[in-house]
Amino acid sequence: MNIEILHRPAYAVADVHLANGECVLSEGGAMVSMSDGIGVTTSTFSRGGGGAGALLKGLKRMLSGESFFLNKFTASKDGHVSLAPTLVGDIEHIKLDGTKNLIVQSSSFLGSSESLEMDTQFGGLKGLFSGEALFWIKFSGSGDLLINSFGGIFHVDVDGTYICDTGHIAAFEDTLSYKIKKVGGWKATILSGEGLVCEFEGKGRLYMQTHNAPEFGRLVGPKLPPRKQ
Amino acid sequence: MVAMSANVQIETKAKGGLLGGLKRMVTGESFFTNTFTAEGAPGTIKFAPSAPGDVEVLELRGESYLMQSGAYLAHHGDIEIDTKFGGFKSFFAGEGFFLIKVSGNGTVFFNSYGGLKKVHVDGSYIVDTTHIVAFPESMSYNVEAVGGLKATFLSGEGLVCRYSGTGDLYIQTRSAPAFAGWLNPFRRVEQKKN
Repeated sequence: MNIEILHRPAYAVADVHLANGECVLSEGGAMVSMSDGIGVTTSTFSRGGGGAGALLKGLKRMLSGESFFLNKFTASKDGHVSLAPTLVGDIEHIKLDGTKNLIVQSSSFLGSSESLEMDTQFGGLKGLFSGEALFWIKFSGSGDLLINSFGGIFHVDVDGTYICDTGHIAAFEDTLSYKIKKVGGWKATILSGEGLVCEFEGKGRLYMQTHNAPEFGRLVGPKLPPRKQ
Repeated sequence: MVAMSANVQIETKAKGGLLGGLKRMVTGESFFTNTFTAEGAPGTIKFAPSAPGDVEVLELRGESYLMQSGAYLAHHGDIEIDTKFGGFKSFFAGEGFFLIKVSGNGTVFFNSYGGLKKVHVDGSYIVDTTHIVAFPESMSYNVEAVGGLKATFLSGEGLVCRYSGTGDLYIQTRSAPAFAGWLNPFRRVEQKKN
């Protein structure tokens, strides 16, 4: 698998080149185009390829409002699949080598190689974005991972303590511990417009996005005609 | 039009008469077209599309291209702009019934939502219908479902267009319907009357 990222930073698209027999997993709806001879299968979970366990995990996600489908693109001859996120922004290619796990915010996940273990059970920051249907996926093992950002993507190598707005987190290494806090006192929480923040502690890399997607939705959404219930 | 030199004159007309204007409207273009002419001295005009994205130039030497509605920006030279019924298959792809056909000799400026990617095809190539910007009329295409039945309903990939032949396809790296779908939950919910 060879990955090329084009049209950075605002309109990034990832061209995933696959050799015969190779495959890539992606978030549902991410496929822009592909060459002839790529087969597509859809599942609710990446590992195991079916069975009661996988089905149960899929159902669990649906019940919690997390409709998360994975598409598996398999090449029957050398070719490529182009993947892009919905919002304007960048893509970053991260190689995991098994020494560190990465926790990715669900809307920042674009694609991965099948060799990575995906775990959506992780609920450490659950309920944080109530109504936004966001959750977190923990990736472990070794392989390629593609994450996307709303706006630009940048990382901070945390060594000690670091504070990040929850809506700007794209991913972080699980060597970091975290806690959700309100910013300042109650007065600051209510009046500052900063809401909740995440306080990271330890040593590890934090990937951040320059824009906050739910904030943008709340800016534009109310200006549109109301929708029917 | 974004800006222009003071000596540029605009003439607005419904090119092709009432029918021509109406045909343009079904592709989401304007009923009227503007002709900009520099008078007395050279001048500059700036054009920009409404969505964030790229603008690309197509030099036509007698061939024809089909464009997704909304992709046409401007042209100069001997170019004919026509509306082509894309068939019911394009309707099922959620893209409306009509495509814009540009042909002749001259330069066409067109735009995309997101980056514009040129893909040279020799054989067969598959594009999500909402990511298509422009393709040569000489290429044949078919709208089809992706993968099996389960993939069609669950994959979120909707319908794809399979192109066959030889030529350059123009693809956009973002999808306007997908963005609208993302924004939808942020709309207010209509209050029931009484």
